[in-house]
Amino acid sequence: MTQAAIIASDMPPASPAADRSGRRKRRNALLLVLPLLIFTLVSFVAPIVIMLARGVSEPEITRLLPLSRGPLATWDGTALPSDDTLAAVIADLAAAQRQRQAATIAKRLAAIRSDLRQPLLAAARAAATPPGLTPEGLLALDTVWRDPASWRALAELAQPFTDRYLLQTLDLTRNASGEIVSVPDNQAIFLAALGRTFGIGLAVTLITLVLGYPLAYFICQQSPGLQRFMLLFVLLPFWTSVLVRTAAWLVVLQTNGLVNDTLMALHVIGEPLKLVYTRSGTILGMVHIQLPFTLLPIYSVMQTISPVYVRAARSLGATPTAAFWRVYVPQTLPGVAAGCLLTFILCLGYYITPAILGGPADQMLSYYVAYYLNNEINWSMAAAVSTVLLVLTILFYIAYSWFTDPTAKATR
Amino acid sequence: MVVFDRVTKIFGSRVHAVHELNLTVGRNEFLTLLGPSGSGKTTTLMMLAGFDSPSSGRIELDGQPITHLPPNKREMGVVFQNYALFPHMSIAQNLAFPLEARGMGKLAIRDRVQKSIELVRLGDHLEKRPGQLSGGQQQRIALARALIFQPKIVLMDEPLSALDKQLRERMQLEIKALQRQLGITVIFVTHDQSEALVMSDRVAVFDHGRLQQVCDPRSLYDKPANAFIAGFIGESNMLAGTVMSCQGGATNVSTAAGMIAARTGQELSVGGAAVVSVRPEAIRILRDDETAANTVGGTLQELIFLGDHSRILVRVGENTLLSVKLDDKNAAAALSLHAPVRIGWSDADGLAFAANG
Ligand SMILES: Nc1ncnc2c1ncn2[C@@H]1O[C@H](COP(=O)(O)OP(=O)(O)OP(=O)(O)O)[C@@H](O)[C@H]1O
Ligand SMILES: [Mg+2]
Repeated sequence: MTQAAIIASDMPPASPAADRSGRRKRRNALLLVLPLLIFTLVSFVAPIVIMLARGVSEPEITRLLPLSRGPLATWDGTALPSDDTLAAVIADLAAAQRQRQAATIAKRLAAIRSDLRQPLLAAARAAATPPGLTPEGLLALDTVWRDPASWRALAELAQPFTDRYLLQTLDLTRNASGEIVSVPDNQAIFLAALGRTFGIGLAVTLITLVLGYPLAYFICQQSPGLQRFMLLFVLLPFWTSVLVRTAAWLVVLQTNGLVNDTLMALHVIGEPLKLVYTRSGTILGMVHIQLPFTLLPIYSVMQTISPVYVRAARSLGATPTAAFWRVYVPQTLPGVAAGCLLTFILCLGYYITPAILGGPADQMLSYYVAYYLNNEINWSMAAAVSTVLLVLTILFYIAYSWFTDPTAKATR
Repeated sequence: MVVFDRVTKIFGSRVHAVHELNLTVGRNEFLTLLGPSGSGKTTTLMMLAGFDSPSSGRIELDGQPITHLPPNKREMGVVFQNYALFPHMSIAQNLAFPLEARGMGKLAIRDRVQKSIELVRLGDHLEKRPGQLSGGQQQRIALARALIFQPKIVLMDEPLSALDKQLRERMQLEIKALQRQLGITVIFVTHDQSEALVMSDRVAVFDHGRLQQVCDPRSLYDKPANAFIAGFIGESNMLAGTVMSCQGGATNVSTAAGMIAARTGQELSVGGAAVVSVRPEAIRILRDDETAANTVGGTLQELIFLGDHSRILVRVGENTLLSVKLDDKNAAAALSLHAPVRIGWSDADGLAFAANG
C-alpha cells in the first residue's frame, strides 16, 4: 500500500460541512493561481498547440486555393477532374498570380512532385493574363496536366490536413497508391539525425554523470563554507550566455587556437589537430554547458543522505567500497535520474553548440527546425520536426517517471 | 572484555570531548553511559565502534588492541539513534545485509533472517520498507539487524529517544530481556537517568568529557561520588554553605538554613565551600513536639499533587527552596499555603560535597 493510501484510510470520513468548506478553499486556491494559469495557457500551451497544428496543416497554401479546395477533395482521383473543377483551379491560380503567391504554391507542389513546378507557374501566368484560360486551354498547356497523377498531387496540396510532413521527419512517404513507404536512401536524413541527436545526448549525459557524480560527492564531503565556495565555481558558467561560452571554445579549440598552439609549441604534435567542426568538439562544448544541470540534482540529494547509513553499513561488516556501492549510491539514484533526465532532455534540443562547434555531419534535430524556418520558409516542416522532438521528450519523461516512481517499484 | 585505557579525544585543538577515560566493561554486562548533552557519550561509543579514533590512549577488546581497527572488522553491533535502517532496502534485505557482507550462503541467510525477525516478533513485515513501519517497529528491526551476526558486543546510542514514553518503557524491558536471553554485552548511551537505572548492571556517568563515577544503579543513588552526581541522579536538595568542621564521617556545614549536620561524601577542608545534598524523600514535616538532627523552619511555598504522592516546596531564608516528598496524600491536605512549617531530616540523610567538584 502506498503512504498516501495509509494516511487516507486513517482519516475519518469528511462531514458535508467540512466538504463544503474544503471546496471553498479549493476554489479560492484556484482563483489565486488563475493569473499563472492564464499566463501558462497563453505563453506555453497555446504556442505548442499551434505548433502541433502547423505540423499537420498548411494554412497559407489552403488559403490560396479557396475555390478549388472543395472540388479537388471530392474528386475521385481516377479520371481527369471535371471542367468545373478545372475552372475553379484556374480562378485560384489567377488570383494567386495577382497576389504574387503563385511561386509559393509551385514550391510546395514541387515538394510533392518536383516536375510540376514549371507547369504550374506557366499555368498561373496564363490564367492571370487576359483573356485567361479555359479548362481545355489548361489541359493543352502541358502534357502533365493530362495525367491524373499531377492532379492527385495538387489535390493533396489542397487538403486542409496532411501527414506528409510528419512522415517526412521519419523518412517515410506515401507512394502512388497512398501506402506509407520509406523514402529512397539518398533522401533519408531524418532518422540519421534522430539517431545522432540521441547518440550525442546520451554521450553528453554519460560524460556529465561520470564527471559530475564524483565532483558532487567530493563537494558534499567538505565543510559547509567550502561547499558554498565550490558550488559558486560550479555555477559560474551560468553567468555567461551559452553563445559566449560556445564561441570561447571555438577560440580555444580552433586550428590556430590555444590548445593547438600550446601542443605545437611543446612539440607534442607536428601539425594542428582538428578539434572544432567535429563531433568531439560538439560534445565537449555541450558537456561544459550541461555539467551543472547534472551535478546539482545529484548534489542536493547527496546532501540529504545522513552519514549514519554508511557508518551503519560499516558496523554491520561492510568494507568501505561495499558500503559506498550498496548503501550510499542507491540512495543517490533519484538525484542521478533527475540530473541525467534534465541533461538528456536539454541535449535533445541543442542548436547553438553543434551549429558552432560541430561539422555538417554533427547537426542535431533542432538544426532542421531552424533550417526549415530560415532557409526553406516551410513552417509546417519545422513544426513537424519540433513535434517529433516534443513527443520524444515526453516519452522520455514518462519512462523516467515510471522508473523512479516508488510505488511502481514497490509492486514490481 | 572492553578496556578503555587513558583514552582522550580532542576535536580541533581545544574541544576535549573525552578526557583520560579509564573504563573496563565486563562480559555479559549491561553498561550505560549516562550524562548531560555534550558530555562525550557518543564520542566514547564512536571510538569503540571505530568511527572515530582516540587522540591518545588505547582501546582493547578481549585483550587485543583495537584502537585502529576499521569498524567492519570489530564485530560490534551498533544501533543508532534514528535506527539507520537502509531506506532503499526491504526489512529482509536490511537484516540480510550483515550476513551477505560476511559471505554467508543464501539459504543460511534466509534461515537466520527468519529466526531473527521472530526474535523481535515482526515476522509478517519482512517485505516492507523501513518507511512503512512505525517508530517502535523500526527500532526493533534495528536491534535485530545489530544482533543478527551474533556480535560479542552491541552498542546503542540513545536508541529509544525517538519513541514516546510508554513505548520507551516497554522497549527498555524488552532490550534488557533480550540481553539476558542472548548473553551479550551491551553498552548503552542515554541521557535519561531513569532509563539508565532501569536497564543497567552498571552506570558510567559522564560530565564535560570526564568519567565521574561507575557503579551499580543503587550505589549511584545512595552513594553519589560528588555533588554533580548527587544533583544529576534522582532529585536532590542542594544547600550551599561553608564547612565548619569535618571529622571522621561527619561534617557540619553552615548554610542559609542554619548549621546542617551531614555525612562526609567527599574529602573536604574546613572553611572551604561545600554543598549538602538531601533527597526529598528523606525530609519529613515535623510536628510541633518533634525534633530531628537537622531542623529547619520555613514557609510553605507550593503544594504539588503528583497522583501517587505529593510534593511541597518550603521556602527557607531568602532564596532557598527545599522540596519535600510526602508519601501520605492526606498529609498535604492538612497544610495551608504560606503558613509556617517545620521540616527535618536525620544527619545520615545529608551528604556533604565540595562545592565545585
Ligand atoms: N565532529 C566533531 N567536531 C567537533 N566537536 C565535536 C564533534 N563531535 C562532538 N564534538 C564535541 O564533543 C563534545 C562531546 O560530544 P558528544 O557527541 O560525545 O556528546 P554526547 O554526550 O553524545 O551528547 P548528546 O547527549 O547531546 O548526544 C561536544 O562538546 C561536542 O560539541
Ligand atoms: Mg550523543
